[in-house]
Order: sequence, then C-alpha cells, then structure tokens
Amino acid sequence: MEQDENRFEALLGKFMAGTIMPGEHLEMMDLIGNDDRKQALYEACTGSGPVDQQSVEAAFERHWQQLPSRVHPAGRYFVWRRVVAAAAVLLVLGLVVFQSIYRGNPQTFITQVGERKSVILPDGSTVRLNGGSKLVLDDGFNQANRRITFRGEGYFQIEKDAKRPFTIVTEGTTINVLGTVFNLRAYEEEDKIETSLISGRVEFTLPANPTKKIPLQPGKKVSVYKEGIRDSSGTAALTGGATENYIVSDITLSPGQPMANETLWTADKLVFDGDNLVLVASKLEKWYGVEVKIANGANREKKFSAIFPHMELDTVLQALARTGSLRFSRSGESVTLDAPTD
Amino acid sequence: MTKIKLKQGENIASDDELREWQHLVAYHRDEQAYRRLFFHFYPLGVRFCTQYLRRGELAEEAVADVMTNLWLMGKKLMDIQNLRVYVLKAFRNKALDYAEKNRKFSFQEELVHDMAADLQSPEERMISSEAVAAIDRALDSLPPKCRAVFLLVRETRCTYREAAEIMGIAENTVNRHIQTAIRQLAALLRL
Repeated sequence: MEQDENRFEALLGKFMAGTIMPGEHLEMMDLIGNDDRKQALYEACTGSGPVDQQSVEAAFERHWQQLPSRVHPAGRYFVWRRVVAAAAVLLVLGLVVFQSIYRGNPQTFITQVGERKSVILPDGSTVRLNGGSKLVLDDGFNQANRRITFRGEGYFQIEKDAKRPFTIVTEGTTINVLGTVFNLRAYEEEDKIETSLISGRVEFTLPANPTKKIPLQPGKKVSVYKEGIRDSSGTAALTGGATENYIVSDITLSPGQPMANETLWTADKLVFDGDNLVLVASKLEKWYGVEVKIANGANREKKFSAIFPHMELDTVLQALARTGSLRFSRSGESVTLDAPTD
Repeated sequence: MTKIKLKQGENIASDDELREWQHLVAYHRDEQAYRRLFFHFYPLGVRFCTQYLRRGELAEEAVADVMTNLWLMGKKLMDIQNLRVYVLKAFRNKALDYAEKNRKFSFQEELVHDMAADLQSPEERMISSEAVAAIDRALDSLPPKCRAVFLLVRETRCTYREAAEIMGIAENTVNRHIQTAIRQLAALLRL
C-alpha cells in the first residue's frame, strides 16, 4: 500500500514535468482506480477548472473598447497605405469571386494528414478540422442554403439560423443541423461514421431510407456502419432489422479530462476509445501523417483505450506495444503493426 | 464581424497557433487574432496573478495591462521569440509591481484561496465543491513560493525550464518545489 502511494506520487511528478510515458499514464490511472484521495490529488495536479467563456467574452469587450490607438492615427501616410491595402484586398476578393463564378469552383477547406486547423465559414459557423479532412461549400452557400459536403473529422459549432438549416452530406449519411455543437468523424476509408452531439439538436438520414429522420439527443452519439454492424469476431451481424445499421450510445467522459473523449482531439489529445486495431491505425495515420500497415498475423479486432497528450509517434507506438498485443516496426514515414512475438 | 464562440478547452492554443496570431496582430493588426490571444492568456493570467494580488479586479487589471502592451508593440511583437514565456513573465512582473503599489491588498508570492471560484459557473462549483474546497485548503497550506511554482506549471502546462525562466529561479528548484507540493498535498488529502 505504502509502495503504491510512493509510486503514484512519483508518477504524478513525471506528469507535472510532462515527461510521463503513455504506459505510465495508464498505470497512474489504474492506481487511481476507485480511490477518492488519489483522484483528489490527481485533480489538484491537473487543476484548470472550467473557464466561463462569457466572463472572458465580457472582459474582452471592455478591454477592446479601452484599447488605446485601436484606430490607427490618421496620418496621411497611414491613410494612403490603408487605401492601397484595401484596394489590394478588393482586387484579390474580386478575382476570387470572378474565378468561382466563371469556373464554378466551390469553396473548399482541406487539411493534410498530420495537420489540424480551424476555419470560419461565411455564415459565422466554425469548424475545427482534424488531419486529412475536406470540407466543400455548395454553390450559393449562405445565400440559398447552408449545405456542405464533408469527409474526415470535424468539430462543428454551427450558428443558429432557423430559416436555413445547416446540412452536411457525407458518404453514408446526411445530417441536418439547427444551431449546435457536435463532432463528426466520417473518413471514407473507415468502416463507420460517428456523430457525437455536445449540445443542440441534429437529425440524420441514411441513404437507404432518406425519408426516415433519426433525431439525436445531446450527450449521445450515433455510429453508422457502412458494411453493417460487426460483432467482436469480425463477422457482419446486423441487429435491429436489415435496414438499421446504426447504434446510438452515450458519449464518454474520462476522469480528469475537460471534455468528452470524442472531442478531446480538439485539445490536441490523441484518443483511442475502445477502438479496434484498424481504427487505431487509421487514427495514427491522420494524426501523424504517416502510413500505417497492419500485417496479416495481427489481430485486427483487438481493442485499445488510451489518451495521449502531445506525444511523439514512437512513444505512442511503444505504449501500444507494451500492452503485449502487438509489436511495431517503423522506417521513416511508414509503420507496420504486427502480432507480438512470444 | 462574426464573433467566434470558444468552447471549453479550446482557449488553450498550440505554439503554432500562437505564432500565427502573433504574426497577424503584429503585421495586420488583426482583431480576430488579438481576440484569440486574449482568450488564450486571460483566464490563466487572472488565475496566476490572483496569487499575488488579493483582489480579483487588480489581477484582471494587471492582465489587461500586459495585453494592452502586446497590442501597442505593433511590429516589434514579432521580436518576441517565445510568446508564452514572455507573456507569463510579464504577468508575474506586472502582478508584483501592482502588489508593491497596493500593499494592503496583496501578498508577496502568496495566494488567495478562492482564485478558481471566480471563473467557475455555479453548476460546476456545485458538482465538485467539496473536492475543490479540500484541494484549495491543501494548496493554501503550501509555502508561498512553492505554491506559485506549482500553480504556474499546473495552469499553463509550461516546461520546468520555462517555469524557471518565468520565476527567475533554477530548473532544479522548480523540480524541488513541485516534489514538495505533491508530497504535502498527498499528506493533506490523506487526512
């Protein structure tokens, strides 16, 4: 018991220093278990209670009003420069509009694998894009409609507009949104599409039955399986009738984490949440911009759970290997996951 | 201008994002980028400065002062190599400065225990008020300098090297303070 406590404190020290290994992080969470005192100590070390955005918002408004020389001094030189700059901006904007009208180029936002960024759409909605994502605005977006085509993973914060519902078309589902916050993971090469609703309301429809609207409550997520639902042995096992290839479940919150597992990636944390090896490989590819192959001998249905804050790829791979369920080899940008050698 | 609504957790920016905003503010006087910088630094700045200044308003003022200086630097802003360390250092200096001027309201390197309470919504406070109170009491009992270092590392996730630079102490001393803090907190929370 005493030893336990000492080990736990040593791990906490590493955690604070940012030198903790993922395996050790798991060990630390195991040690916490149901021990309230350890949990309290861990919370004392992670700290950072939730931030009240409204009070920061109000503080910013006050601050911005009082900011001296927010408006530039009206020196001639300055005015001229601003006029020239404005003209240049107009010219560029004009060219972009011209191009999009004459070429019919829809506006597109793309992230490369290994890259994550936030974009603001013309209607004021914001989307944080995970690696390897593509978001295309339909023609007339924000005029006639608010319709986009999407693949990849995005954390959506949609502005309310009852007259023009926000519609997202992905490979396997169509999602109708009234102002809301949710996470959507819809990579073409993965076998399911997952929508996690944080707040507000969304409705989705499936291509097989476009008239049936399936509503989703906050705190719930829906996983739509492209090939039908598979049981743990990997064979297709549809439940609840032949046309229903989706499951609704609760979004998950891990102790000590500020938000749901499904959205932790927006805080730069790589999360495996009971994911099978195939999904783990896919997530690694998007996160680190590498190619991950699974060797034939490996157990593709083996499930993994872990949260990795700001970790190098090798560290993550070592942690996965330490579970004893696989081994890995890496050469440059290519990783192979294989069955462990005994 | 469209306002960006930030959700919890989103106001912690990566170094790349900070660099980008720094650039946009320096060269383009971009309000949106400045706003994002403000959202990143303000909450943790207020927490950090409240340690030194008994009154929350003073801490808010100190933080706003530092942010104003950033805005007024214009293109010189790009001369700053590590914005995170620079701003945190500025917070500490400004807070100590204010503490000097407002002696009766302040502590030297000390903490006011309800620092976290201001920034929490009523619901959050209800959920874990007992745990938070226990943790706050435990934090209160730490030696002032030790507590300052512990809270700095906890709130900003800065490295020990950065913490050493911000506090003007050796990296080893940072490590020692953190070890002391964990040991004392463990002992107190065990009761």
